Amino acid sequence: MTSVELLRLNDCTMRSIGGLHQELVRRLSGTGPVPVDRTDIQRPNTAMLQLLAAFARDLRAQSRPIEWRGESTAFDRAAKTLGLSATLGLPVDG
Amino acid sequence: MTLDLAQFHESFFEESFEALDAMEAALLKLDVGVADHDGINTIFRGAHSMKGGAAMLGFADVTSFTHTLETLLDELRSGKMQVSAPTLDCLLKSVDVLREMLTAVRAKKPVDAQRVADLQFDLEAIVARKDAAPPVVAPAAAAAQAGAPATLAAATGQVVVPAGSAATAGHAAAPAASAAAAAHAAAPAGSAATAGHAAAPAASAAAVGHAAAPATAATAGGQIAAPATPAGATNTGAGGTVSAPAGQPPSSSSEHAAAADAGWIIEFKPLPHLLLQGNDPLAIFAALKELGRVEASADLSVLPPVAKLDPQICYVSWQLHLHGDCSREQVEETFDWTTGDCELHIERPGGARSPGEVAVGAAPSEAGATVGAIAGPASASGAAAAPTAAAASTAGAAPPAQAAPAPTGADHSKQVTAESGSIRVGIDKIDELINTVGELVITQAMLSELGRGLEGSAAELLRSGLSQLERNMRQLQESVMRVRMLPISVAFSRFPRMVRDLAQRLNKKVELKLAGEQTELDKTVLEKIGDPLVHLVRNSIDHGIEIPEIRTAAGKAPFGTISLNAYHTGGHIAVEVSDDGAGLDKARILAKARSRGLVGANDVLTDDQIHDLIFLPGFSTAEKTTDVSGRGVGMDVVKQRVKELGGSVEISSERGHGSRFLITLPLTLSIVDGQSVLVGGETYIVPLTSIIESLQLKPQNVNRLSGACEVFSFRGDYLPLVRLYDLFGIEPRSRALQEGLVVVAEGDGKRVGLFVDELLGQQQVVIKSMESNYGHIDGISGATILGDGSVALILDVPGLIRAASMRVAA
Amino acid sequence: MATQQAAQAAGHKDPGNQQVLTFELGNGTYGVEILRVREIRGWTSVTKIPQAPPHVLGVLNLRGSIVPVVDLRMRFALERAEYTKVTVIIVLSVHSQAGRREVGVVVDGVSDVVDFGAADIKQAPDLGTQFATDYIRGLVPAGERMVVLLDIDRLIGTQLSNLSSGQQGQSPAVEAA
Repeated sequence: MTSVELLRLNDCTMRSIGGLHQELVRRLSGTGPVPVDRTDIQRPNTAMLQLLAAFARDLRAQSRPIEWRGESTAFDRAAKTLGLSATLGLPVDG
Repeated sequence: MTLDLAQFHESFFEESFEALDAMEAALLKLDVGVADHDGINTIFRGAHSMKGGAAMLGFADVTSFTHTLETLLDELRSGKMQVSAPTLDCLLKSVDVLREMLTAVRAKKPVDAQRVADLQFDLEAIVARKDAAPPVVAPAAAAAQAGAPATLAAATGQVVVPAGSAATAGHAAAPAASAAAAAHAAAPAGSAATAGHAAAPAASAAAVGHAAAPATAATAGGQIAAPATPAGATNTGAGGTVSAPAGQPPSSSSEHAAAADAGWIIEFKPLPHLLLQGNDPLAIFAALKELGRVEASADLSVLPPVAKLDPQICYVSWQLHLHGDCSREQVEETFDWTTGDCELHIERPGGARSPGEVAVGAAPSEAGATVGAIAGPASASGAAAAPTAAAASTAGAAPPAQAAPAPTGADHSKQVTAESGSIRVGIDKIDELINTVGELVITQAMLSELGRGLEGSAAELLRSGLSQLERNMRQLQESVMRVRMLPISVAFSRFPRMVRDLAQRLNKKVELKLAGEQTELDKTVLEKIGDPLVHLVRNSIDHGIEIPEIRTAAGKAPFGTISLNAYHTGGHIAVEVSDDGAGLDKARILAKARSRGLVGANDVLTDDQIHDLIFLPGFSTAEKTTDVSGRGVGMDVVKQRVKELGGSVEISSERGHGSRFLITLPLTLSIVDGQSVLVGGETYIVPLTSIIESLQLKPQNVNRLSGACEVFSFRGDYLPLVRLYDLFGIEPRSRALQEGLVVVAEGDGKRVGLFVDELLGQQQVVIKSMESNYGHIDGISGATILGDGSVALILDVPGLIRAASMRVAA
Repeated sequence: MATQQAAQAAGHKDPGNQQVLTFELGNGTYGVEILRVREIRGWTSVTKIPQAPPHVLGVLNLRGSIVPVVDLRMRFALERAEYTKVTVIIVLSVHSQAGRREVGVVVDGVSDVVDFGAADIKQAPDLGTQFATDYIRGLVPAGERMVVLLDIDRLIGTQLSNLSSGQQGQSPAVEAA
């Protein structure tokens, strides 16, 4: 079993999202849960949330959970605004 | 009695070329993933009317070809076939071939029969195969396929919408599907969940019970012109309540019927490139929240697996329920920025897709088609009597329509108003008009001058009359000049197709952004600026934008962007062509220039000077020249053409980031505000827009450089002094600086001081060409006729600067 | 000022015949096809053009068009003459590479319109390279005079297009030689 490496999320732009994409692709070929820390997100955008939603969905299909670490109100609020909280597996509070 | 049809030929050709342009534009829209029933209809109508005209005028080849084309388009229109990538390419080629055919027929030259035959064969093959290739419009297809089971199920009266199908159904279908489900009064939780919670109850009322509609649907074969069944509680046979009458004049009845504070159901389906345009749904939804509470439900049905998706493309669409009592306008305003980048539907919960929404500006049958089609599956559901055939055909009609509900009303209505209220006028008539007005200006100037010298009270009256005349003349002139002005969109229109084809050929991903398309230019300028723009765009794609692999390796988006932007600035028009490609490679340019002896080995050049080297004839640093932009033959021609129009072109570029070419053009060709100056006995006109300031110099203000060139200090810079009498070979009133004046003028980014004897008046002058009877003179841009009938030459400041520097060098 | 009415009135057709407007220049009499004459004007001041060859005097306003004016005396390397009250400008329609142009020529005075048949035209003698005569269509006896029929397209047309292609400052003598 591969060691469980924490995925730290950073704000990204349309230009830099390619990096996150590559990382997520890499993670998908692993095994086990993926802990994701969203603390550093202050300016979330739709592209990132869309990407993460796809990631969460694909992980689920592999029966692997996303484990959300840290806190970011900006992130959670954005996810709720876009109606993606459930898909992302974020703790739902209403 | 034989009718001479030749008189109709010209208008047939003109109208056909226009129809081909419209067809091409519609085809290109299909390309971007928007299967558009309106678009396909536009294309079909174009082919159909061309066939008719050609047949009537006896153009057999054109008739036969358009007939085959029409057959294929009919299949697409009725939904018997999907639009696939190969089909689309074939259709675009057909447009090209038709253009060639018409041009040949018009010029009474032979048509390229082989090419036509080949393409005709391809078209027939597609029809015969009913090409099953994956449709271009994937989302719609998924919707269609998902929608179909719902439909058929619905048709049998059993509205069992499997949760899954509702989930995968394209967004447009969702409400209807759930509505179908709702007819059973038991909306399966699954479908409701993904389709948006509020949709279920609302849509159940809607769309159900279209007893009348399906019948019409069957007959219209996809063009559902649903009869104007009254809104509100109706007995439409199948126990339905509210029907969705399409083609009914925008009735607010359904809107009012719904409770005012039920808010709005908004269906928001971004086009894939929405994010790349700089729009973010997050921002929009946040703004929406200011109008009330928002519940968002995301549709991820087309979101590909992570490994396959492109993170910059938007795959998600939403259904939002906005709670609160705001107006439709307020909602629409929130989505203002996204026009053209998304599909948007705003409706009341409880009402059907309100007719007002869809019917605005769109031809009733098309609006009907869209609404009807979407309501199709549902309508079939309500109608127990609906024959399966009807369901099938509506289902068939649904796919193209579903993915493309009528575009947001706004731009359709624009089309409608633009089409009416115009007439064709021959360009010679306009030119004659402009010439006559030009003569009027001169006559009026002459009269004014005569009036100046008179005395007495009658003279006063005369002068005031003349002054009024001058005001009227100015207005007339402006109006007349505007007649010749056309929006630059005319020149921009060829680019989407060109960029698409070229990018495809070169395996590059390029997105074209157009801005300022409504900026108007004089027709002649417009015609002549086309080719230079083509060269610049071609160069951008060929040498500027890198292939996707290189771009991603450099941390750039795989899509390169080329922007064309036009705007007014001061007395000029600016047209920018910019790209986010590799930028100019200064080192390579310099090396090439050195190797060609254009630049000395030890010369030091500024960045701008290095960039300008690419405008030298025969210059090309491309490693291999493609047949696309040729051996750099483009650049010097670009500069030349722009100069001929009285404009200039400027480059700014940053290696790794991209380049920008800025073309500046004069607003009109034939009128200029000028300052008259006296040099010796001759009067010259200096265009006011080139003048910065006039001042008097003393001999001590002027220094000599390298013996020959005089310079003086102006606002911190040293500018060259040009003695016009010397340049033109005239005997001046005085050579002494303090007895004359220096006019500081600017052109092509450079400044110069022009020494003249005296400043005379300022007036608007009509530019007359020197070239038509004489030829080009360096430093002179044209001539004008003064009030006294004599000719005055108009100075061309950039030309003067060049002429002066050449003399110094000599 | 004389108008072109007379010129136009004289333009009736007889295929074999030609109608020619004759004018004086120095001691010689020259003629140009009547149909090429746009207008005849008295001498008016012209606006000088920078960098023009000496025989191009400048431009004037012909009902809204800018028309260059050429001194034929200089073209023929004759002595310069004073422009007097009877000095006249004939505005001609000239064909050149660049198309149709209007050009004015300064002459000493206009004579009459002469009618003659194709048979009357005699060939100009070949004077060798010293005096190029490609702009002479032929010689026609008219009474006691000899009218030199000019091919104005060759005379002026080529010259002007040379000008616009940048070959300025070349004296016509060079071209003729």
